[in-house]
Amino acid sequence: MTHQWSRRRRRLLQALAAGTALTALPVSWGRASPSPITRRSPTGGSGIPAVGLGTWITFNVGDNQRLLDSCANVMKAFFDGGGTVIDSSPMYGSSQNTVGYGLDKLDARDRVFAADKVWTRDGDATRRQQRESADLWRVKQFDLLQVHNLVSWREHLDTLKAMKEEGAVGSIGITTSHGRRHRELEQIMASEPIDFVQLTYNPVDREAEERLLPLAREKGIGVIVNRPFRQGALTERLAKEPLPDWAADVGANSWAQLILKFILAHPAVTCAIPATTRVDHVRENLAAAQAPLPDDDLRERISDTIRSL
Amino acid sequence: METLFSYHPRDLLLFSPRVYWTLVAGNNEVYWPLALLAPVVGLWLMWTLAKLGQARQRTGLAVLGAAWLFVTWSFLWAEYRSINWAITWAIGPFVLQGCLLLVLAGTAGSTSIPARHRYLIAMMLVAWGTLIHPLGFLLDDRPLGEADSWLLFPDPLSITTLGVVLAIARGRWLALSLPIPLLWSLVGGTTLLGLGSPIGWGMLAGAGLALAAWLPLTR
Ligand SMILES: NC(=O)c1ccc[n+]([C@@H]2O[C@H](COP(=O)([O-])OP(=O)(O)OC[C@H]3O[C@@H](n4cnc5c(N)ncnc54)[C@H](OP(=O)(O)O)[C@@H]3O)[C@@H](O)[C@H]2O)c1
Repeated sequence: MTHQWSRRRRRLLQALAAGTALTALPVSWGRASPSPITRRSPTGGSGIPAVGLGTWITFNVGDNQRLLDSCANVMKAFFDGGGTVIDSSPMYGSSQNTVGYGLDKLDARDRVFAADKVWTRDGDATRRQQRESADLWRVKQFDLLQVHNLVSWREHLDTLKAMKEEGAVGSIGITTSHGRRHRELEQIMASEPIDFVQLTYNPVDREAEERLLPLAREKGIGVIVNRPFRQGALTERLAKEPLPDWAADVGANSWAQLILKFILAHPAVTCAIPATTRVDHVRENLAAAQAPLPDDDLRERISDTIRSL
Repeated sequence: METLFSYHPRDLLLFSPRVYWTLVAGNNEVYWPLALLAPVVGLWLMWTLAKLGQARQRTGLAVLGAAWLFVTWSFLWAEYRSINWAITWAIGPFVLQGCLLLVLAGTAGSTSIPARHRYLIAMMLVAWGTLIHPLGFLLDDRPLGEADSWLLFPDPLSITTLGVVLAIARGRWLALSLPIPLLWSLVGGTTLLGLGSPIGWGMLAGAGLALAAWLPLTR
């Protein structure tokens, strides 16, 4: 065991050295860039920065100290750049604990908009799971609790509504992804008093534009956009392609920024929550939440170009 | 329909290749003597199968049973579970498999060499699990420290086990000791493919071969 610890400690020291080197790197999307644009929160209060941080896969790093610290570095860059919304779920392996580790290390509990989910078939377990999640996040309560992927949504939503009444959670919502179960989601949005909906939307996956985004606008429901880069498949594919000249017209320096600007320009969208393991990417993503954003014609052009590549 | 095509094998995984192979490297660092010994013990295992005899068979099965229990504790429970909650469901079957092999080690009588097809497949699987599978790091362009050897990790252990039990176990014992490594070879192979490691195909092929050797048509 001692042997294991000494090795782990050595790796930690190496990691810290690497982490320091990373943060010392010159970055084109610098820390000096202005704060991200904010959007109105459906529950009032201060505005929500239009780019948040997802944690699916990227923050599931187990107990590995080097990786935990590298995620904390990402969180530091995120908060320093003006980001607040972090999204996680009990489904994401050790991600909730990684967020908790980062919040602790950075002493950033008052800087985060903590968005988590309820993910269990047991409709009576909402409060228990919320307590377990809050312990992992090391927070007292969440700013937003969402029913993950509509799992046992009726039961969970009933409890979440009661919790919101009691002040045990700031706002409530429901999530889906990959364009799944949009019909059912639409019915929930139309009939339930939810504050946020989380869904997949990007220049390639545009089904949400048909009914869900207009409905969200009409009902004043905040929209959190997941999988902006199709879990990295989009950015990976586009990496080989040159960025069109006209991207500069909206201040986009990369495909990732062009995609995020496409998403944020939709009037129904509150924020997008790209996930990343990299400090430079988190800065790049936050820097996309700046004016100018593309108008309708340019949005079509972005979508057509990306679809055609 | 387009949504369907937006799925990628990695969408099935909760963790990234970087994190999985970091866990593997971490265990190799901690238990490095076993990682070094694994190919040698593998060669010895193949020798015991080439010269079937009661004492040798029993020792081979005992080593294998102990390896299942050790891998359950040192990797599945202590490491892998932290990034993959589904592993909790694998703990029971892994312990069961370890115990089954130990009981088999304690009770096995001397068996003769099985039918030629089965014997050949068994030897190939043991060679694959102990010597070839760990070389998968070369295909992925990963460092040697991330090689997964059969005494430390569930994937090569399952393939090796398929070979050993096909060579030694018969009838009811074979039916009892084959399903768990067979299932894991499917799970592990698919996971490796999701992680972008082509060696996962080897595990799926190994499972297919073991199944073919087990089914009556090749007896
Ligand atoms: N049903 C649900 O509730 C649901 C479903 C899916 C997702 N979500 C939430 O939404 C979040 C986002 O979705 P996602 O994680 O699936 O996928 P995503 O954000 O579309 O893509 C993440 C990938 O994009 C890469 N990336 C990030 N910024 C980049 C940049 N500037 N340039 C190039 N590549 C970049 C990252 O790689 P690097 O690490 O190299 O940067 C990472 O692999 C999730 O983390 C999760 O919190 C919720």
